[in-house]
Amino acid sequence: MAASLLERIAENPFYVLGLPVTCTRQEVEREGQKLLSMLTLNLHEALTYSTPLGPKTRSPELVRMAMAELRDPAKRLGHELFAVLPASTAGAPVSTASPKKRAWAWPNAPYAFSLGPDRSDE
Amino acid sequence: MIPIGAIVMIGVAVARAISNSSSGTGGGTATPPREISRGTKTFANSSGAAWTVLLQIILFCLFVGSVSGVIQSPDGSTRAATAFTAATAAVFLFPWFIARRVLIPLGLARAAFAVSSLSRVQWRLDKPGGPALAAALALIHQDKPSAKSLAWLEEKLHGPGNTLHGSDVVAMGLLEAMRGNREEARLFLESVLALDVRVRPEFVARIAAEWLATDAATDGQWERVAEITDNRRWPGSPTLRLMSALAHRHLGHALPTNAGLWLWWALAPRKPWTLSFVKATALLPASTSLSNGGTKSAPVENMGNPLHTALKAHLPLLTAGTGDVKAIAAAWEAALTDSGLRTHLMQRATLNGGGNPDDALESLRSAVEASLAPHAEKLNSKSGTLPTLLTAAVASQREVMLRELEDRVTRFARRAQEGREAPNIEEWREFVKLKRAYVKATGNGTIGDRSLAQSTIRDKLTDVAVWLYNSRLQRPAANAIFRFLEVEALSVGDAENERLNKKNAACLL
Repeated sequence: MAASLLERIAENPFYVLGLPVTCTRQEVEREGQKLLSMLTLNLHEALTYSTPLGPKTRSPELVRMAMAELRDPAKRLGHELFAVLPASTAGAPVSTASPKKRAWAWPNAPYAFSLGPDRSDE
Repeated sequence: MIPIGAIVMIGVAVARAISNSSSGTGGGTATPPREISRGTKTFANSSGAAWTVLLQIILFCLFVGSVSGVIQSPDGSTRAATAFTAATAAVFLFPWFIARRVLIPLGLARAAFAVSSLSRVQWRLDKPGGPALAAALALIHQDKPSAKSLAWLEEKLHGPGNTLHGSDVVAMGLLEAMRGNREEARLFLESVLALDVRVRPEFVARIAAEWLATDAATDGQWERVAEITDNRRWPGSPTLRLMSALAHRHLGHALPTNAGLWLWWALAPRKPWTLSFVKATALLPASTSLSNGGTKSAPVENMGNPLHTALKAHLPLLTAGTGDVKAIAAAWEAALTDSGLRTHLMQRATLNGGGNPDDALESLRSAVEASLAPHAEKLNSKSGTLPTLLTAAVASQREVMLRELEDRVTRFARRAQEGREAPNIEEWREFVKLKRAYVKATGNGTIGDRSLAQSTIRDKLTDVAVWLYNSRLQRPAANAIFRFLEVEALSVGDAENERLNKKNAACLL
């Protein structure tokens, strides 16, 4: 399903379905079908899911893929290893840039010296 | 009325004819179409320089005469005619000045290209690279250059008949920047330094350095800004000095003081546009670093469950690229060798009705190794003994990079062997990407790693450079490759290859 460590966590089937690693197969099917119905109706609460890396966008393809992955016991065991962190810790998503870096970046530097477009309104 | 245009055209045609006849080799030997690499001679010793000077003198006389005619002429229509003559003479006399001071700031790319093409002093030996650079600078002044304009510029840079110079490389870098490909833009603009100083005028290198410094400031990478502005290989400029002062203040260095900072601001161009940022920087207390420096982070928190601890510690590295890589690797080693984890996996496999704990752990190890490898590369030289997991990660990463390097150089050499030509600027792109792959494969490595990488590229890249020199007449690019190979041969003690490339690099540019 996912290759890198980042993807294995961010697209982990347990996080996609919002289920614990101890869930049963029936729970996987039930939750998957429920989410697919909600996504068909474009319900707001189904559009995102929590991960330790912060909220991610949920799509019907991702849900179907997650269900398929968890149906295979061998693949499921692998995914369990990457889902040990509770998704609730996602309450504080990790920023890709430190606040200091963002505070002292100079986005309009190229424009200031006629070397790039004006980004002041971005 | 004096037929100025006709006189100038005749003058240029005569000068060109005489210049061509005098540069022939004689003895019935056919002169190759582009035997002389443009811009590779100094202005004074290149053929045609005398004609350029003569033409400039004629144009100057014409210009002065026309201006005095405008002043003295009582008749309105005569005055208009002489004024037109004076303006025409000025365009031919000072094309680069007009392009730089009028057309580029107005964003008139095609006009800047056309007028710069008339330059017989600044870009006489560097066309269409110089005019293309003028066009790129004009396009930068447009808020949103159209795709059509960018395609037109690319076409000029891909056009046949030009030898690659620094101006082409910088123009291509700026073009990539305008297309939003900042990584490619950096690659091109940094590569200007690889070219011989005779084919990269100071003005051209300065644009590259200024763009690179301001680009780094865009992301708040002040260490990089300081690295660029303090690099003596780049030419200096008021802009670069101001950027250097700003970088050192943001890095928390004691110098420059506020007085120094304001002095550099006063000397730099475009003061109204830089005032607010300089003012904000001046408020920073001295010797207090506020930059995004280093990878310092909190120590790895022991959470009882080794897997939980390792994953939690790894998150900042995944998202922000920060964290103590050695500590994270140690946490992973503890997790992967934890007997409790294996027992837990066996229980889970039984409950799930299948699955192999060893396969799951191996998959986890591979993912962790791949994730740590890029960070481990940076640690290798200064961190002494690394955890086993990191050593394995570094080894696998280096192997991948060596394979990539080998693939690249093989493809490049095969293309050269088969005589499949790409536009000159694309040949340069191929070389700078190959060089980057080489630097990645050897960075922080042992002398053995460097020697292995050097032996991988040595012969094939030499063949490519010889092909570029002899068949493509791309002497500046070939010279850059020879000099790169010479330095690398020297660094690994390959005396024979060093001698060969030194000899090649000494060939006529």
